[in-house]
Amino acid sequence: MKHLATSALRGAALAVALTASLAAAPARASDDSAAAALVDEVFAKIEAVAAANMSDADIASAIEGLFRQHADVAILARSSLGPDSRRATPEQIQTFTDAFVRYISRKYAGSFSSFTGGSVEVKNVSEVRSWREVQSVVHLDGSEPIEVIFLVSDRTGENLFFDMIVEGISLRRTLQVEIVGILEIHNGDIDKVIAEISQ
Amino acid sequence: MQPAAACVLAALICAAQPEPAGASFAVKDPLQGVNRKVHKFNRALDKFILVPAGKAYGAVVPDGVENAITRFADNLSIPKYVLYRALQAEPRKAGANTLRFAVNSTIGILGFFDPATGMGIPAAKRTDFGETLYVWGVGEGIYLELPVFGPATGRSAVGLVVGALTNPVSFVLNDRERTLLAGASAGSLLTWRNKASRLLDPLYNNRDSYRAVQSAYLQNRRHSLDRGRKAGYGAKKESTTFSDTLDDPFEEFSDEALSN
Repeated sequence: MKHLATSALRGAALAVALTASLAAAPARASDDSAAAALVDEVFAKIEAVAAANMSDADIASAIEGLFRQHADVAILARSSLGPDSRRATPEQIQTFTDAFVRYISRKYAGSFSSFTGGSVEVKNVSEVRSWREVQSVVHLDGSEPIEVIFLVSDRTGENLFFDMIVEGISLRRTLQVEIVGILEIHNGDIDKVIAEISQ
Repeated sequence: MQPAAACVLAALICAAQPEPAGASFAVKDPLQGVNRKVHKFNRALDKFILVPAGKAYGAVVPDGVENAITRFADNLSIPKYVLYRALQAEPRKAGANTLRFAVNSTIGILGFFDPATGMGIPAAKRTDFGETLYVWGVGEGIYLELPVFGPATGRSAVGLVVGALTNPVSFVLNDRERTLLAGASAGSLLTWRNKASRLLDPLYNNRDSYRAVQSAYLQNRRHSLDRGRKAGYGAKKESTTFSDTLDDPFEEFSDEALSN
């Protein structure tokens, strides 16, 4: 009986403490869970695509839809061009961004399609500078757990991810190395880069 | 090679001081010309030998046997992990790995099975002598692409050589057993290549696959070394967010930044 009373008391104290901490930081908690929810949704969609047994072209268009809906494509595309994005005209940026999304969707279609039979665990959400870092672990059949980090920002008014980091390999950094490299090959001609990645 | 010459070589390819932390992602690649030639060779080796051999191996050997061979090879890697964890002053990891090796080598019949995971003993995280050098404060050194072994840093290349010479398992095996182990390791490599195919495609289908491999390797290697600790004996890293290693894209590339 005494035990029961103690645990009831503890429960009440915990509830009070929880309410207090939630009241102290209501925005934070809901933003954290919204960022985590975005990651859950993205993973669920990738899994659905991988399980659907589609052709590579269909996977690519499904992934393209996912990027357009859930990723901050504008920032990804511009930062891939590196400092040269500053001298691009708005039209060039527009055309490049469009070609870029289709390019990366084709490029990673195969990688996403190997994401089958997995389970995802969001481990932690932390606030860093103007965004949230969502740390998650993916368990796939017969392989070691894979650490996947999403960087989520709500600067546009909705939660979008602007980077996805798999075992330390950042999508944004990787694409920047690649696109800046192509830009160098074409002596900084952005139209030629657009033409090349549109092939 | 004379020990003295080996020391000089090691000093040349490893910087003595640790790299400064920060948002910049620096790559030291003074041997790029040679590295690119080796990269070409490695791509050909991969395309004409590793990939077809992997496909043949996967087609001939049943999946269950393939996985058992991989487990066997993995299990025999554990003694060297234990040695490196001890040298890295990580007694807990060394202990868990020892327990895992003991359970899987006995109840798991020489490591062909994995009862340890079912008993709640975590999978052994890979480590190497290069990581040990990192813990000791040795700098990363220059980027290298080694024939057959692939991308490396000066530090990890030295680790590879020392590791090959000091693997505790090779001291207790006779020639026949060593050949068996080499065979199993080769089998496990082929299994890995088959599975990794769709993940490696984006690296290889690249205008500049040398730079793509280099970037992916260095990002992954630095992250796996940095995770949970920073250079220095047993020193714990203060921050645990990955974002600390990144620049702020919104400061540089958002509409507001561009209109300024």
